[in-house]
Amino acid sequence: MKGNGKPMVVRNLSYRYSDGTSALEDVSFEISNGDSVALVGPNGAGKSTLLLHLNGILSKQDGSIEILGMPLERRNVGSIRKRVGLVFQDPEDQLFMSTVFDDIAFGPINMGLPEEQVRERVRWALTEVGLNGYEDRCPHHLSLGEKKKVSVATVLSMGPEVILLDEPTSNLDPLARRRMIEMLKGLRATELIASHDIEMLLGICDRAILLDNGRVVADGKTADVLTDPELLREHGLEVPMLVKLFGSDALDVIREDF
Amino acid sequence: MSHFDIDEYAYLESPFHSFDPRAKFVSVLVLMFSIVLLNDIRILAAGLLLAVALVLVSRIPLLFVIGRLKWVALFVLAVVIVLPFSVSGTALFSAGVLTFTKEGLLQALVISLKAFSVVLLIFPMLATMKFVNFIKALEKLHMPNRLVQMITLTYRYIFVLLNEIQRTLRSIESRGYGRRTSILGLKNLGNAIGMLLVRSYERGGRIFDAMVSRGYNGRMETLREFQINSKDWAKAVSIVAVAVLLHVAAFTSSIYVGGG
Repeated sequence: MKGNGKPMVVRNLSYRYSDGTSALEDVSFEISNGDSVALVGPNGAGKSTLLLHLNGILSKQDGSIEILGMPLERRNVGSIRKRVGLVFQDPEDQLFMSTVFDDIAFGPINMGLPEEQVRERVRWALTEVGLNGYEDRCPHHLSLGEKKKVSVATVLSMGPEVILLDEPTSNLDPLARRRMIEMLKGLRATELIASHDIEMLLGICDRAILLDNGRVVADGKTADVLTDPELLREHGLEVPMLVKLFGSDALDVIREDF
Repeated sequence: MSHFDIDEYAYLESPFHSFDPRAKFVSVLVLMFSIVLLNDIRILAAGLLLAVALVLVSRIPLLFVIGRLKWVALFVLAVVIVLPFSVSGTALFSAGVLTFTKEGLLQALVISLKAFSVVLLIFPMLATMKFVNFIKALEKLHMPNRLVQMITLTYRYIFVLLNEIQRTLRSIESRGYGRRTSILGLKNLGNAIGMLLVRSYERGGRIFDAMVSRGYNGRMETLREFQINSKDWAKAVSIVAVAVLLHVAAFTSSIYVGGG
C-alpha cells in the first residue's frame, strides 16, 4: 500500500513505561516533505522514546501516528519501516553483522531486493557517507566516526523517505563531527534529528521541536527556538557561545561554516 | 584495547588459504571423522603425521600451533595418567592396589593420537580463513539459520563485551579494589558481573530493535560470495580420498593381522 500524505503526522501521542513513568504526554506535530527538523530536550525528555515510536518499534498507547499517509498500525508497520529509517545513537547497537558490507546489505536483503540491486545500493550508500572501500572491514575495527557513518549507510541503503537520527554527532572528535554534519547536510531525505548539539542543529535544520518531560514545549524555526537563551536554559539546554556573543547574526556564520 | 586476533593468519598464502571455505570445511571435517573412527594405532600414527604435514602446507606458524596444543595436551595428559590404571587387562606392573595394564596404555595412546590429529587439523581448516568467511560457509552449507545468527552475533559482540569487562575491571581497580581474593574483592567482582549481565541484556534489546527497524523477520542472510573452481574440487576430493584410504588401510591390516 502506498501513502502519499505528509511524511509524519503525530496527534496526542502519549506513552507510559511499564513502571508507570510517563515518557510522552500529548505530543503533537507534523513534518512536511523535505523538512529537516531538530528534536531537542534535556536527558530523559523523551526524544529517543519518540523516535522509537515513529519507526514502530514501540507501539503507541494513546493518540495517533500517520507516516507518509499511512496510519502506523501492525498491518503496515513493515512497509513503514522500509520508508522510515532509524539510526540508533550507539553504533555498536546499529551494526550487528560481521562486515560493513553485510550490515549495509541487511535492510535491502530483508526488503527482498534481487542480489544485483542489493550490491548497487550498498555501493551507493557507502559513497553517500564517503566510505568507499570499507566493504570488508569489521565493525569493531572502525573508529567511532566511521562506525557512526556506516550506521547511517545501513539505513540509507533501504532508500527511506524519512530518516530519524539519534545523536548523530555525540562523542565524535571535532573533525569527525564536522564530516558527519557535512554528510547529513548532503542527504536528500526528510530528517528528524535528536541531539544536544545545538550548533549543528542551527547549521542544518530549519525547524526545531523542544521536548521536556515528554511534552512539546516549543515548536518553531530553529532561528527562534534555538537562539532563545531563557527558553533553552529553562529546559536544561544552552545556546552556543557564538549566539551568546553575536545574537542572531551568529546564524549566518554557523550556516556558512558547515 | 588490544583484541586477540582470530584472523591473524587468515591473510597468508597457501593451498589452504586459497581453498573455497565450504569445500575446505566439509573435506577436512570428513578427514577428522575418518581419523576419530580409526582404532588401529599404526594407522592413527600415520594420521597424525598427515595432520602435521597439512599444518606445514598451510604455513600457519608452528609456534602458534604449539601454543594452542598445550591446552589439548593438558586434557590428554589426564587420560594418559588415568586410563592405564583403570582399564583391566594384561598387567605390565602394579603398585599397591593400582595395576598398570597394556590395554589401558594402548587405549590412552589411541585417544591421544586422535585428539592431537583432530586438533592439528583445525588449523588448516579454520585458521586459514577469516572467521567471517567461516560463518558464511556455514550459512551457505545450510546450517540452521538460528545457529548462524548466534555465531554471527557472538563473534560481533564478543569484542564489545570484552571491552566492557575491561572497562568495568579498570573502574573497580581505579577505586582501590584490585583483583585480590578477599571477601570484599569477590563481592565487587560479583557486582561487576551482575552489572555486565544487566548491560548485556539491555544491549541485546537495543540490537533487536535495530534489527527489527531494518526489516528483520527471523532470518539473517548475506549475499553469496564464494565461487568453487576445479582446483577446489581437486583439493576436496584428494582430502576425502585420503580419509577413505586411511580406513581401507585399517581394514586390510586387520585382515592381515587376523589371518596371520
